[in-house]
Amino acid sequence: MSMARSTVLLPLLVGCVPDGAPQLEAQSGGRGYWPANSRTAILGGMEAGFEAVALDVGMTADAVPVLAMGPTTAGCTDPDGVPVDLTLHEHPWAALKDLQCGGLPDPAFPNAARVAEPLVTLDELLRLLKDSDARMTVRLHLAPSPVQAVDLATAVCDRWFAADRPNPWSVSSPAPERIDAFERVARAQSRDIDTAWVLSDGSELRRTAGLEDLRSRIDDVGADGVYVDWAGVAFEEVDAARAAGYRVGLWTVDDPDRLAELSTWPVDVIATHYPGDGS
Amino acid sequence: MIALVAAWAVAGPVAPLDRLDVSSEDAPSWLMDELPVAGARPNVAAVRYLHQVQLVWNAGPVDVGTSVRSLSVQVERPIAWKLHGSGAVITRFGLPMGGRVGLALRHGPIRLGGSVVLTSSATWATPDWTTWRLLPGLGVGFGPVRDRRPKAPWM
Repeated sequence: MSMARSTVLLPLLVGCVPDGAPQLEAQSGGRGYWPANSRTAILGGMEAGFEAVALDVGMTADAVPVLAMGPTTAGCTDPDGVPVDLTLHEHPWAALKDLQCGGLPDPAFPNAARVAEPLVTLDELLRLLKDSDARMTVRLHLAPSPVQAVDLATAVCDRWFAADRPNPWSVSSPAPERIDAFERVARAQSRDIDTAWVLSDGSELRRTAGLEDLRSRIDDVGADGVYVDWAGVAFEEVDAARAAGYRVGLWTVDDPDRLAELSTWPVDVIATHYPGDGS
Repeated sequence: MIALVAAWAVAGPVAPLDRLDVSSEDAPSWLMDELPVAGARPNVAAVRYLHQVQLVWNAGPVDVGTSVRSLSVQVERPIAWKLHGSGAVITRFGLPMGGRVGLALRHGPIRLGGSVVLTSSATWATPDWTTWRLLPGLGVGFGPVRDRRPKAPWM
């Protein structure tokens, strides 16, 4: 029997607190502190001892996986400081490697440090991880892009498996076909990969009536887990999904009070731009 | 819910309304799970609150509770003074998902209920009864004053 959290609201409750507090995951490397998906963020997170980090991954025209939030280089400049907005999948790495990213203010996180650095490739991330705590979990979130799912999955899996890093890792995406592509590519190499479906929609009425739930939707996609928007998901849904063996994460919780409150929910991980403020 | 009330008003009181539960014992998750985070997501909390508001109809020896959240068959019998024993089988659109037992205090048009609710995570999408929660249920309802004492068969 999976029991609920205890609460002071009604002393009649018979229950217990969940097994353990969820991991706090540095969303985009800890975008509240440093430029998103930057070398500074990765090294800063390692130094701060973050237990989990989520980084956004896209791919160039010549199949080089790079860390980037969206399909373009928005927020980057050329070496002269002129903003450059290039579409990743239309340009080879050679045309992107000299860009400086992270030096412009991030309107969503005005207090984050500004550090102009080149884009980080997946190869560089894997090199940086050699100095990390091997227990640090890495989630690669697949940035929106028209790149073929299998091509991206092949490029990422080939590099990660070859590097043979001990860090637990997973990939996440809101697109079921990308989840499926990673599962198939890993299976073709006789490897296993943890996948998570990033979910934000759903019909409240259908959920209330029990005509759909998290478990059935994850199962339909074939993922190993799910990341759900904390602003809409119900406690009982995540409780049931986790009890069914799925890894469950909440995104994205930046308010410290909310973080403390949701840390009592039966979830495995909570993504936040401020992981250092929630522990 | 509105459609149910409208249908009842048009068709006539084939099943008399026992009460309107503004806080339903059948759906304790609103109080336990949703209320603590209602300040952070008031719209979601408001919608889920409305989903648990329940109309309870008298259907002979049992009552039937109807809300968007649940459909339940309820039994309530006087114990002493204004105190009643109550119980219910709770379903989600007809799919059994749990039950409750408890006590209710009726005073005039007001009913206050407290129950222990055993509820599973079974849904029509995932009819699985392996995960259960035991929660406190708090009922607050209003309805017409009725004599709920058992009647002899000839009455």
